Amino acid sequence: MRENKERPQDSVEQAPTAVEPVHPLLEVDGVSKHYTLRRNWLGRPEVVLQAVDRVSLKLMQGETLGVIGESGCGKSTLGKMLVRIEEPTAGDIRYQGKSILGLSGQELKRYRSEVQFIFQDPYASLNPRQKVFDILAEPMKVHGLYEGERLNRRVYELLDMVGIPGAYSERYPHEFSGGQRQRIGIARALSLNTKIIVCDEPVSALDVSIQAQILNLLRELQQSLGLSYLFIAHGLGVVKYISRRIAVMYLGKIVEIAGAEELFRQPRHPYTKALIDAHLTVNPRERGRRMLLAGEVPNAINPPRGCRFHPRCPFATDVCREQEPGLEGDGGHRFACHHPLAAAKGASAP
Amino acid sequence: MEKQAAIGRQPAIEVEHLQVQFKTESGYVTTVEDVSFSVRAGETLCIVGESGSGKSVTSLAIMGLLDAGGRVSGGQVRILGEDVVRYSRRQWDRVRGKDIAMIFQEPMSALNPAYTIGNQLIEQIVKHRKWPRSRAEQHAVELLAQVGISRPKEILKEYPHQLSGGMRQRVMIAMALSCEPKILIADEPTTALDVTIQAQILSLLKEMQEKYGLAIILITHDMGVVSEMADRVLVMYAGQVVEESDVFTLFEQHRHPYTKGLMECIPHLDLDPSEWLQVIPGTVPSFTDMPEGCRFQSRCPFVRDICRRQDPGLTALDGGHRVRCWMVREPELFRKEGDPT
Repeated sequence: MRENKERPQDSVEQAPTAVEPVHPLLEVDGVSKHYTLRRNWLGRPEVVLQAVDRVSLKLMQGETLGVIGESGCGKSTLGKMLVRIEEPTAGDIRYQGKSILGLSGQELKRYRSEVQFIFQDPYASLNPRQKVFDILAEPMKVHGLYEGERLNRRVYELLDMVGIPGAYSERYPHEFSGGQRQRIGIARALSLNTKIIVCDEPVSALDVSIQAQILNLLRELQQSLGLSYLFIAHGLGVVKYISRRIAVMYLGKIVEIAGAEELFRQPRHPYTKALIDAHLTVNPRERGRRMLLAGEVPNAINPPRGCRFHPRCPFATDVCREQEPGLEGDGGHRFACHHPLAAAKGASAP
Repeated sequence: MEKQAAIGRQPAIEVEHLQVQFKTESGYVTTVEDVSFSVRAGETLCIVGESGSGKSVTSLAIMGLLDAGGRVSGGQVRILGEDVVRYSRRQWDRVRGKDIAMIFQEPMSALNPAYTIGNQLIEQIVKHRKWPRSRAEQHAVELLAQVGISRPKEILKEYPHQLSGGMRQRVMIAMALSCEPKILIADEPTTALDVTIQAQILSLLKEMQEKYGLAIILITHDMGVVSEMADRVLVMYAGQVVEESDVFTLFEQHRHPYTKGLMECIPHLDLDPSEWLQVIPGTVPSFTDMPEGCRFQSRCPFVRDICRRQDPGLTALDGGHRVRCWMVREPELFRKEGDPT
């Protein structure tokens, strides 16, 4: 993948398709989230929903890692575990080399001031009775970062960063459009010592013309502030635009992870290929040319044995029904499949 | 029967100068203005636009389904040749479901959660076709099989909440087709679905269109859906049609700056990662505060004085291509003041 000259963090980052970088900012290590829905008379779990199952990934300083997948793939649960809205049932999450799962008190507060979350529906996450000024000022007061005149200045600075006129600070959330509310949500996420923002479908509810404004804003802020994003979404074009690397999830598992360009140029997992095929191009002369994936995503309560994708996979054989494939491949491009698609000839990265 | 014969010679549905108004505290506000189009059997018209463009209100007006505050204040809607704008509720009952049917973004809101799929589907067939229950049930099973449901008999006994989103949309399509309508309005039918399921549903709609010769009006915000499905396209902005053409012209030779902006702000998969997305600055004006002249003026990079004074109206070009823009109507004006492109 080409180095993107417009991004300022090049000195810190390494080419994503090369050897795995040494110091991830955030490291997810074999994390699972299983919900026990019913226990038997001995109190042992009987019906278990595996929302996320043994997922590992690394987020580097200054990069955007995209996570794509359809509903029920576990991408949102994964995001919530990173900000400790949900607790993993297994595995570990390390921030700057240190586990965050045992954090409490001041340490947890510090973690939460550095790792922020923005939601699909900013309206649901903004207090309707608070003016924009207070929405932005409150976290800074709670964390004791600014007060008095410096606090005021900081609020106006944040509004300016996200393109909201300072005069609007006395307004309430309902007085803004969806796009403006998302800008306010972003301003709030930036108000502390933010290093990482977990973005969960931040533009899915927006009109396409507004979506482009928000995506560009996120990219600009990343460049000027050196932020890292974990960007969760289902829209392929959106994820590819914003991400340096992309992880594809299916039924609680990562099935493929690669540099963004590489993933689309030569997907190796049949599910990734099917997702790309299902993406509607905006060229009416290419219509109808795609592999239609049969069936629907199975229930995560009783995920299929072996490879979880096998019931929908056109290439499935006995081994897929019996054995769960692990993530394999070289450092930059890995995939979990017994019968990976052939790498396109001559198309590999230089 | 005579209706059957009429199809082919004339469009299944014709809308002329449709105007819709809604009551507000400060009187009536016009939210859809001067919308005209026609759709023939077997043809798909996509109406594309963002929130507030009037695309959904247009579809509800056509179906006679405007809420209490809304009214069709001008124009005609002819379904199989008959103007239905002044139809009473009873007259609508004979047309709706039978000649024209509709499917929505969220089938859950159109299905009754308290009744089984079978109850709702069979009842509708009995009501419209006056068939005995056993025959209607037989037909219901066939319909569900046709829309790709693998266990139709079991699904009849299930409740809407027991089905996935994709399955519910299939059931909705089966219900819509149960009385063999000539016209199907699909309002964002795949917006709530995952991409792999969206591809399945769009392909099903095409299959059903071929089988029944449906005239389809597909309302969407997604240019990908338009590109996949449309024969003709209406682009709406702030309650008006700003561009209309066949699908190839729309994607390859669009003339309205808004259409151009819409196309460019989509993050294509082949966009170079170092490039930035084009944006349409600003937001849609509100209906209570609509500017004089062109409604896109505040967001248009090519705006001139004339755009602020007078609405350009639709200019007709070759092949049924129509554009609401001064650059198309009076290109001279734009050359004189300096080349905008």
